Amino acid sequence: MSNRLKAVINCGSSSIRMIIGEFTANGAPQVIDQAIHYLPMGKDVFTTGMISNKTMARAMEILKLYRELLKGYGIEPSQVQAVGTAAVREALNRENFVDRMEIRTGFPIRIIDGLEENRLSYMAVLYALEKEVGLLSRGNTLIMEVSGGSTEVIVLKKGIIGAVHSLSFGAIRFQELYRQKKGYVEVKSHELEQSLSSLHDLIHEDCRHGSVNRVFLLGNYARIAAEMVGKGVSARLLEVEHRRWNALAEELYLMPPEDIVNRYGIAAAAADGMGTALLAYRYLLKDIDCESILVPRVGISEGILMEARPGVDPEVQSRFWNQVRNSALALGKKYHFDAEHAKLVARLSVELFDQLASEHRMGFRHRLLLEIAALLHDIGTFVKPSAHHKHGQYLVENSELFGLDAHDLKIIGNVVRYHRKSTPQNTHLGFVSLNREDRLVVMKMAALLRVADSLDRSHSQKVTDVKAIIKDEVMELQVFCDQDLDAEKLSLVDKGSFFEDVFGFSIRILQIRKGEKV
Amino acid sequence: MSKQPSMFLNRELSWIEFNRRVLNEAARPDLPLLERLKFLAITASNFDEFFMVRVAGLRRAFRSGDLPYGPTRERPSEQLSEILRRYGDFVADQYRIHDEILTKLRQRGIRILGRDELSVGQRARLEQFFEEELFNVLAPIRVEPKRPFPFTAGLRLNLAFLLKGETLSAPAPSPQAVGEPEAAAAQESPLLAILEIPSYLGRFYELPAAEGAHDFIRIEDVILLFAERLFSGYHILEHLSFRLTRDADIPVDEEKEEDFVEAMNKILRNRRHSRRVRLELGARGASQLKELLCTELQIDPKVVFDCPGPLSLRDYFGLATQNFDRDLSVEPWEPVLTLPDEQNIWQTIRERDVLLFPPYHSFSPVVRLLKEAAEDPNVLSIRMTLYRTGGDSPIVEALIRAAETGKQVLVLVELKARFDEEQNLGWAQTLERVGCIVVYGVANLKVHAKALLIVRREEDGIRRYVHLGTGNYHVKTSRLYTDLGILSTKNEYTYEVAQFFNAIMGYSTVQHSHYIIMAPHHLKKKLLSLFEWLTNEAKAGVPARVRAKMNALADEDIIRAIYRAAEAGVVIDLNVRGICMLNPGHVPRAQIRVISIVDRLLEHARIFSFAAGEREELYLASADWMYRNLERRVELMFRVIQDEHREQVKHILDVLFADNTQAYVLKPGGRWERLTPQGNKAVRAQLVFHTEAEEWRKLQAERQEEGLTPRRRPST
Repeated sequence: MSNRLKAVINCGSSSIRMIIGEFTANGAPQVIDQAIHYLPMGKDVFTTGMISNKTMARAMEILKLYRELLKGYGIEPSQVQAVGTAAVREALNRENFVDRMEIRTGFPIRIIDGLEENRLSYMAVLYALEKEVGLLSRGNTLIMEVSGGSTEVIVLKKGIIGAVHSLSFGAIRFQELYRQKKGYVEVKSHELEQSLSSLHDLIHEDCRHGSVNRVFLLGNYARIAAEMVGKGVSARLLEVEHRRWNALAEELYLMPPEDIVNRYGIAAAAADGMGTALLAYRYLLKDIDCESILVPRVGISEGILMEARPGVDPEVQSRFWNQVRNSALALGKKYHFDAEHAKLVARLSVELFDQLASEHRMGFRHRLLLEIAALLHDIGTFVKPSAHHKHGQYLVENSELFGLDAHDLKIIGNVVRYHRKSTPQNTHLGFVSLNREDRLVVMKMAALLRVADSLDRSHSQKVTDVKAIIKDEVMELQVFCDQDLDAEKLSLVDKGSFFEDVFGFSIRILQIRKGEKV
Repeated sequence: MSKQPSMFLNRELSWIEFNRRVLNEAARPDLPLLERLKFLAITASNFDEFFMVRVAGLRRAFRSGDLPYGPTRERPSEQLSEILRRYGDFVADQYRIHDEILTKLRQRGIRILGRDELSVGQRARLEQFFEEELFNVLAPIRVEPKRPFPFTAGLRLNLAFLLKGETLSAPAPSPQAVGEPEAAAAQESPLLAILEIPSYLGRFYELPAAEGAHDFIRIEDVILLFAERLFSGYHILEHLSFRLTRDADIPVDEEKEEDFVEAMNKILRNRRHSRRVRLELGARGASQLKELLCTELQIDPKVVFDCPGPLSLRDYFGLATQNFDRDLSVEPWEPVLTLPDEQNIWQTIRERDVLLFPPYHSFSPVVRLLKEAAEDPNVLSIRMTLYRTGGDSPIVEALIRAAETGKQVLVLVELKARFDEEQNLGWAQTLERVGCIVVYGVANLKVHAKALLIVRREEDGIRRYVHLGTGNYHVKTSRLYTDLGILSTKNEYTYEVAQFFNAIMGYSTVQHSHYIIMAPHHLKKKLLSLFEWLTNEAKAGVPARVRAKMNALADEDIIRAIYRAAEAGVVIDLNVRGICMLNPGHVPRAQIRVISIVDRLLEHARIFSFAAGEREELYLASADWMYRNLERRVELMFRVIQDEHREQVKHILDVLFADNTQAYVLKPGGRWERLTPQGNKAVRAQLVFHTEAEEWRKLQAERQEEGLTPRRRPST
């Protein structure tokens, strides 16, 4: 019974927030309790690089209180998903922080990166929309969060991820740098705009083919502002007129936090950075023609809750994987990849992956990573065809893909790296820096990708399906094709050897023409 | 040009007016005598608190500069002199009524005898009582000239004696004697001695009497009968009863005090020695003693009152609640149990929200819920606020039991609940010992909200049960105060009640809420915005109306908002039991009507309705519209959301505003005028509610006879 309860703690730049969610019989999550304490972790980290002892002690007190609150629901700290975002991530003493919190309070804190935050923001929006998710497939949607330490942006076109951006601009971070540099805190709006101008331009470029139909703003700042001047659309969503939002930004950005506290009755720690954040939002939304702004009353904690649903809600799950795929396709397109080839290789890779499941024993997430690697395996050609596997690795690891974090990108980059030419060597830093488990995963995925890639060596999509049958140390690949497959067969001899090294099977290809019996 | 009537009525005078209305009940010849005696005792008890808190406060303000303050901008000295003048008149009326009631009781065979009215047998009984029980517990103290006056606690009955040493014999002083009398000095000037009468002795001693009759004697008279035995070697020249009232309000410095429990203990010790704000003196004669006592006590003669009768009229409570002849008391109203014991309480509340209207409805389902929670292995935790809760309360017992059976029990105990501090401190520490997590209030704010949350693990997941009410979790007062409460498992309530507890227990900073609005953070703002909404609607021509019932209306901002709304055309109907600082004459042509109901039960529920056109928002609350409730306390106002409950609450308001027998209407300037049916059907709200509850009970009984037990909601 109690496994239907799930608690999530988010140690953010300006607050530690906990939610307790319950999954209803159909698996839909519902937050039944929450707690928030404001804590200036970001302020510490963005000025000194470290979380101070005082802040750490306070964090510990807060977590102990949360532990007590959880006890009232019969939840143990070890069952809680606790994450740390920008401030913890960037703290020089983050290991120390994580360790101390776990030892003293029992909560294991996992540090997540900007891209994962991005994904969780998207999930949070899905949580907020409840049954209205269909809304996203109409027109364009902009999802944005300016927090204490970072800014995340997602552009959805007809519900499909068009672009994602994660920028280390944050309200607290900006203020603190500003204070250090200038010695005063009054943020000049044009200077703030300068540091956001490239993101502003990117967003506008992403949206250039049509207006933005709806804007979602997430995070504490947006939520508190929306509670001040907005109205509830549903229990999970607030709406604010764009005009009203801008007016509030004007009003607050030069207002000392104390005045914000007094006038609006919000927590002092929550007011810190408020003006700057609102100003950032105002600027980023400046040329966006959208009458109202939607603000979920939720944050990435709800995103984590969405992901933790028991059983898979096939619709939301496939919607999510599609978003990752679309994001990869958008990246491929940017580098002028051969879309037909890429898509076929991806499909064949996945077919092989599924048919050889008992041999490689990799899970669903790796299947997705393989698919993405297959989609992107040739993008390095954009730089230069020779050594394009190495360029491809570089491009992948330095891109932003929705739903994937830096670690995922590293794995994909390595798979791209080893889809041709040299196999992994001890001298390849990008490979040896992976842990053993990931190295194995990379090798298995690269081996599968090599075979799939060979099957479309001529880039003409002659092979459309493949069936792998394993008999006594030999993998027979049955391919269905009426055309000549010489190039593919030749390529397999070359690329198949790595597969043999990894899986221990030699490959035999069996071409089946129409009308032939298997 | 006529001056516009003042914006605000004086708070203290409005309070005295309320007490007047209570005293009017005591004067009613048509009421049973003991009921009248009860009302008389209430007025006395009310004035005790009034002196301890309000008069004490005004005197402090007077000493620190006599600056005008409060919405009426009057000087404390002006207010004090008017208060004392009216109090003088009040006391005279109290004793006039007192004498009348006692005379009539005598005609009915209930006598409080004077010392000279005793039969021989009665006197013998008293002598035995004095020798065996009183002599050893009475400890008179001699007052030495030029030494500090001996400690005299507030609100206790004392006797003062003027003694003269006997010259003829010089016996050894008894153990209780006045110190060590130096015989020589004693013989020259008379001695002053005082004696505090221990309160556990009770005020009235019942004597043997003829069949069907009841004879009593006051405890001070018993003592006076044999007082010379306490002062052997002395002769009593004069004796006098007196009673001191002390300032009750010594603030805790919450910023400085690290351990609040310790600080509270300190205050309780200090309060016993706090400033004297009133001295009541017993009747007749004893002129030397009176003068001497006033000099020794160094008390302002303005607050010394000669009472034409026995002191401490509030002690009649004990007598008023005794069972003599049926027609001497009002007919008892048994609360109806709307949630029968044989029903599964969890299931019932899960299936439907329950609206409780004690004391017409029994409060016991709430107690039962707690008791069952304590024993239920599926219950994970219990959270609740306790403000005033009786000492041997079944509620506290249930919480202790819950902690013992391993539930997480979180209790917020408000130590600052005035006059109950000592008791609260005691059982709060007991709760802590058995493993409850006790939070001792919230710094700088008094937690007045009444809320309960039970987390229970059920087949289909976690379910939370809440109770929200307008009255305290106090079993005894739940039979005397009219309150409204809701038992529910609805998400709208449970989520926000959980948030409320997170805020007051320190788990979280205060969050925004929609159904449960919390003071001091959001409540006043919400009320003002509701008034603003109606004002705008009225300006736009939409009919708008406020109907609000509360115990007191004294917040300046709210009153101004009411005037603005009334000016815009909003119809204002207020049902204010006690203090009302709004002056209905202030806004010309405005439709403001203020009534006040004083009846056998204490009107205590807070109900607010804001309506414009088709839309009506209904709220129940723990808060009055007073500055202290809205700004200095943690209070809750909660929305009534379920249709049937909305209908019931609207009906309750309809009846309350239709009362034309126990209600008074406030006239411009602050005078209250009793309403009469004047040809209309007489409506007595409390009787209507009682009758409806009785009808429901009968209906249930009939159904049961038919073998059917449909779960009908009680109509209120």
